[in-house]
Amino acid sequence: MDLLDFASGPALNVAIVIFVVGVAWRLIYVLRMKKRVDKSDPRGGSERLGGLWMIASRSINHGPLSESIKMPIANAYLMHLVLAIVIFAAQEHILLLEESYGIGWQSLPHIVVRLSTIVLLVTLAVTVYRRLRHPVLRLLSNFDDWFSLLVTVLVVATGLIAGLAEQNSDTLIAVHVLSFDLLLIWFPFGKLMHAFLIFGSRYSTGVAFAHKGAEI
Amino acid sequence: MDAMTKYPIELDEERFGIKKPEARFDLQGDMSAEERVATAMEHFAKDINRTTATYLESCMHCGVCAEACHYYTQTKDPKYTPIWKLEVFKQAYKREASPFAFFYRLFNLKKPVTLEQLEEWQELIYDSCTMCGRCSLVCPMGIDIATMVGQARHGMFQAGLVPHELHAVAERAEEEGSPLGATPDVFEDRVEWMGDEFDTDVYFDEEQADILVTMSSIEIMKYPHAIGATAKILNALGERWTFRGEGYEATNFGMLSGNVDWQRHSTMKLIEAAIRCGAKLVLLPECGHAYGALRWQGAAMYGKPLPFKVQHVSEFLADVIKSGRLKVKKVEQTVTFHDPCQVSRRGGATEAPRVIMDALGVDLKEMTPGANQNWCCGGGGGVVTIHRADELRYKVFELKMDQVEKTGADTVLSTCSNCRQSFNDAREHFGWDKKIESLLELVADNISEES
Repeated sequence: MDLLDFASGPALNVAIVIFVVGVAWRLIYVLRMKKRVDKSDPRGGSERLGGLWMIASRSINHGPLSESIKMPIANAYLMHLVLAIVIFAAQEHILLLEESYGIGWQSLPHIVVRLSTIVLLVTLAVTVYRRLRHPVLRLLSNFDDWFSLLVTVLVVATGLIAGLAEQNSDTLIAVHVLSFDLLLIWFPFGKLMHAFLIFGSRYSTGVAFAHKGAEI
Repeated sequence: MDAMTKYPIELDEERFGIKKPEARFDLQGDMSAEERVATAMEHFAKDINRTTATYLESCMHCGVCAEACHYYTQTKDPKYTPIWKLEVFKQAYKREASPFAFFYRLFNLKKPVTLEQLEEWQELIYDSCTMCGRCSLVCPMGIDIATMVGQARHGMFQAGLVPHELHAVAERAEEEGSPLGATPDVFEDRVEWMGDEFDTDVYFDEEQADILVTMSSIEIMKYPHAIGATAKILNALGERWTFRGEGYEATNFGMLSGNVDWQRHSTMKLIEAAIRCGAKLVLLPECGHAYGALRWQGAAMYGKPLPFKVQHVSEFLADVIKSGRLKVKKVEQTVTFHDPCQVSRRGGATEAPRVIMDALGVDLKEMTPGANQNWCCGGGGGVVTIHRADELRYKVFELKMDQVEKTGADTVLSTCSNCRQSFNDAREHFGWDKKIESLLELVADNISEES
């Protein structure tokens, strides 16, 4: 078994199991906690709709934000947009899914994906820079923040290098897949979980605010 | 020692509160350091439910909340970042109650919280957070930080880690029925006085009434015209209403200081008084936190839905104006309006004062940002009582002054007596020339004879 076979075989399988079990454990653990029931007289309007609206609206409405925060938010938007392109529109990723699970869709041209990857790396660099420079972010940052950034950068950078290599290098692809395995293993334990938690967190506040008739 | 001797009140100052203590006692009780920490964590953990756990799991450390906080904005000190104010509680949650607590403990990834940390966090939990909830409007994850600061206060109170003056007013409220000396006898005297002053009927301890009227201690002791104004309006409407000696004080310093038992005692006095007189409506005064305490937390204290309706006085006035029952005269005045955080942003009653001001025909110059995004006056959450927080409070009030100045209005209207005293105290401090007035009193002064 060579490195690529290991990375995309047993290592990937173990990583997927840890990812699935870890994510499920973290979510179920929280969901099984006691639920606070608000017995106060609601102002009116659907609380569930309020929760769903908050999931959507908090991506659009940033409330009373000062100008200084708009650039980092734009950076975050761009990061998530190009991240989606890189993950879901790269031909290599779609082919792998087709081979493994028989599902696939139309990929975007290589050039679009490559450019998106470069943009993604730039947005990650901006994120690192801000976290190093901004007093608030320096105070808040802990191991989770840095390690989550590191594994993300690793996966993106190795993917770009493997994609740009003139000849297909199994070693470069193996390193990319191994870094992805590492990301999957780390995912349930750190802040990357916000990909799932964001729905619960926004929904809860949306329900509470809708109950009171407060702005969502 | 009685409460007045133990915690004398500043009667003649613009800030109506406990006199500046010669020696501060910001640690209550005689627990060991270990007991304090264990107690704080135990009581914080009691409040952890599905929602709070989701919040504590979700923070991405993006720091966006800092930009919404008046304490951070005015000082640029990162320790005032709203989510940082919960850091020790997040630390305790991760170590003791989170899905991976086992790993955190096994590898000591999150260290146990220490008393030194909690003492340091006392300033962040109490002095520099009014629980105004502005941060909750901007968090990309939708975390309601303000609610969790309130929960963190529960642990802090039980561990005897409450700022001197805030503990004092909470203790006075528990012992005397009022945090600032508005005992039942004092209240009854003031009600009679205001009845005479306004030349209107006042009702006290009526056996049956449709409306139980409540007041805040600041109104009773410092702005008593609120009593007469409320009576005058209710009489003009022909309402059957009453004050009740056993339940009139709407402020709830049990809630603000973090003592849930004392919060419940204060709330139950109002609930029992309302039930006893058969009230269909409990009318809450111009007080922000009183609204949150009964309107939104009252049922939790009672353990079931309240058997009556609860309204802030501005909601009541907006309703009777909209229905045509109360007619008001036009007032030619240019004003701006300060939204009390707990009534507007946190309470959902943002529209009501605007309905009233529209009926009064005032020239309203909204602040920017205004309404639900309004900057807090800096006096809520019990902060105005804490002397050591004064410098910081004045610093954040500069934001408010700037907002008001930019509207060009000379008069600020509000529907919270605590905001009003914070404004008046800061006016005196800065020698500022703007006036702050009560919207309720403006309505009472301008009731049309057609009503």
